[in-house]
Amino acid sequence: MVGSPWSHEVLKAQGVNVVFRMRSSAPKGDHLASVARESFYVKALRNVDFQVLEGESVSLVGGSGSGKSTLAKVFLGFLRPKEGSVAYLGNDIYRLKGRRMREFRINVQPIFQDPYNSLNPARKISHSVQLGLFLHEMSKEQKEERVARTLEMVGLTPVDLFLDKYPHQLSGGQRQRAAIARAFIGQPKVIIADEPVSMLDASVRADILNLILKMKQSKNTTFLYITHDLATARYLTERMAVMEQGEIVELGKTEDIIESPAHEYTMRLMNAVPDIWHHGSRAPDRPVVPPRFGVDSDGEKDETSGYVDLGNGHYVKRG
Amino acid sequence: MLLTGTFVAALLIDFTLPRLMPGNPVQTEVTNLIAAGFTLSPEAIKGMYALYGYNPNLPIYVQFYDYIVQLLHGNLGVSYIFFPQSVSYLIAQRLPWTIFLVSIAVAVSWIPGTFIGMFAAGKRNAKFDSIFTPLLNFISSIPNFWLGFLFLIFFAADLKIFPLFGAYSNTVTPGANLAFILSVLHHAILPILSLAIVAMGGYVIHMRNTMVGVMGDDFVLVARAKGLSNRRIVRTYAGANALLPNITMLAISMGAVFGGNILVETIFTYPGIGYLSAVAVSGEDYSLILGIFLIFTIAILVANLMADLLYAWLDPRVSLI
Repeated sequence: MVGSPWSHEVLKAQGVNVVFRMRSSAPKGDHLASVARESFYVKALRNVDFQVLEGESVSLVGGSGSGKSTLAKVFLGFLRPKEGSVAYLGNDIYRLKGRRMREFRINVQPIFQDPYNSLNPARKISHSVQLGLFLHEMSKEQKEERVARTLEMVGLTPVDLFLDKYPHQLSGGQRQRAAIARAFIGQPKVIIADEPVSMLDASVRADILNLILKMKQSKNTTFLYITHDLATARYLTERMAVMEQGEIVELGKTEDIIESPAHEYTMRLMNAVPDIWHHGSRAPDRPVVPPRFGVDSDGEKDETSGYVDLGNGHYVKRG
Repeated sequence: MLLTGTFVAALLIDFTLPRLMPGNPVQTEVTNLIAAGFTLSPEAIKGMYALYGYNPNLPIYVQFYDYIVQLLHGNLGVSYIFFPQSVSYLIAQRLPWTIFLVSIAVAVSWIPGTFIGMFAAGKRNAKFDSIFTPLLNFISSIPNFWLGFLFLIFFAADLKIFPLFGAYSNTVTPGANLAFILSVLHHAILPILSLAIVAMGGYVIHMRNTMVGVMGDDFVLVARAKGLSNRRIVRTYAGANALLPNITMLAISMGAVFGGNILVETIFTYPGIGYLSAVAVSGEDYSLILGIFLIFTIAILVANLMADLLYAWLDPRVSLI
């Protein structure tokens, strides 16, 4: 759909479908006769085409259940899609072996949402951060030196004080700094950050965002940012994809989408952002489109529906 | 502090419970003697009460006070059934057998149980897990004395591979000789198995569930993203984290193992403290019951204390103070 011919696709998803089998906790009300629990399927991703280009910062934006985190898991190699292909530098992630797998694991690194859960509580910070060099061929001294240098970069100073600390001895912000150090220490090509600041206090959010920005720019890392928060997405990324119910509904330059949203879901997301310049009011100048409730009964994708090209790499899903 | 509180509370319960049972030791003895054809004058019965040092007319708190005073002097009293042997002598004689039985049973169930649970979680939804987990769930719900009965009937009575009762055969002389050691092991296998197999089921299920929880944590995902193999994560990375709750489980289960041990020892007529306690309860031997319960209480408290110490050592989030 998008992508300048000269840029290199680092991650590429094509026609990706992910289906989760769910089991209802109780028989359906109108089927009292059926005692067996019914299982139903949820399409977490529907025919998603998405590319991450080398060196760019791109955000995946959407509400809860829109499939953005699922797409992140698919790109990280944790969730094999039912259909479609996911490639890292042109090679299918789920068929990587040996040296190429090693290269993928070195170069694609996650940062997770909850710093209380993403650091092993039984290991010291030095151990957790050094885990980022697990596949790197370096001497122990080199690794230790790199850990110290990275901790300094993320602002966990004095380094000696933090090396032997356990996660529970750090604040949420400090933990997330450690998680960021762990992600960046191996100098990966791609960082996939799934809501890296949403669990943090508002007071440290800006610091952490700036830290990510600084780390990313100093290493020219490709950055996939997953969030529900349009404001931080605008701050961090130049390109944006808006997801709703497992589909990408709008894609384009971040500025274009925020200045002139074309899909009604994007507009709803924008209206949900509190406007601090108009006290107490929520962006009154935009039309409020009533939310679309109800689930499509069959979940079939209408093959004729495609995307409308608005120019300048701005695409919107036909309604 | 808490430990002392628990100890005193346990002591109080241990003291009160036997006295809530119908009858008392002298009555039991008198009934036995009359059944054996003796005639007893009221003076003789009074003399027996004095001999046993038991006066049911005293208020129970006075009896408790007397007991505590004697306990602090290290005196556990005299057994009524095995008169005139002291309770401490009887316990000292029997306790090594029980420690032998229980410690081996716990070791052979906890160690493999933990590893099986660990790997079952690592291979979740694989054949290994879908066969072993329900099977062990089933096994862990079998009462161990019932399993002991089955073993006794099948292996000892029918097949005659294992002895029916006792801790060693009476043809060997106790001591550090090979014949005696082999005989002891031969006698211990069935009781140990009936204790261990049932206990293992619980350990496996517990370890598996803890491990499944840990494997779902983000830090395990991160470790995978760093290139750690699933095997390595299960063995060293997440395994260590999941081990902690299983150590607590071990301490808690000590109570169940001791409790189950009473019945298992009774079934196998094993000369341990469990069998002794069954004899003491049926004979209403207050001081012996008290002494044995005291040992059980101490054993379980010590197990919990050790688990706490171990936990503090293994888990950086827990400190002793």
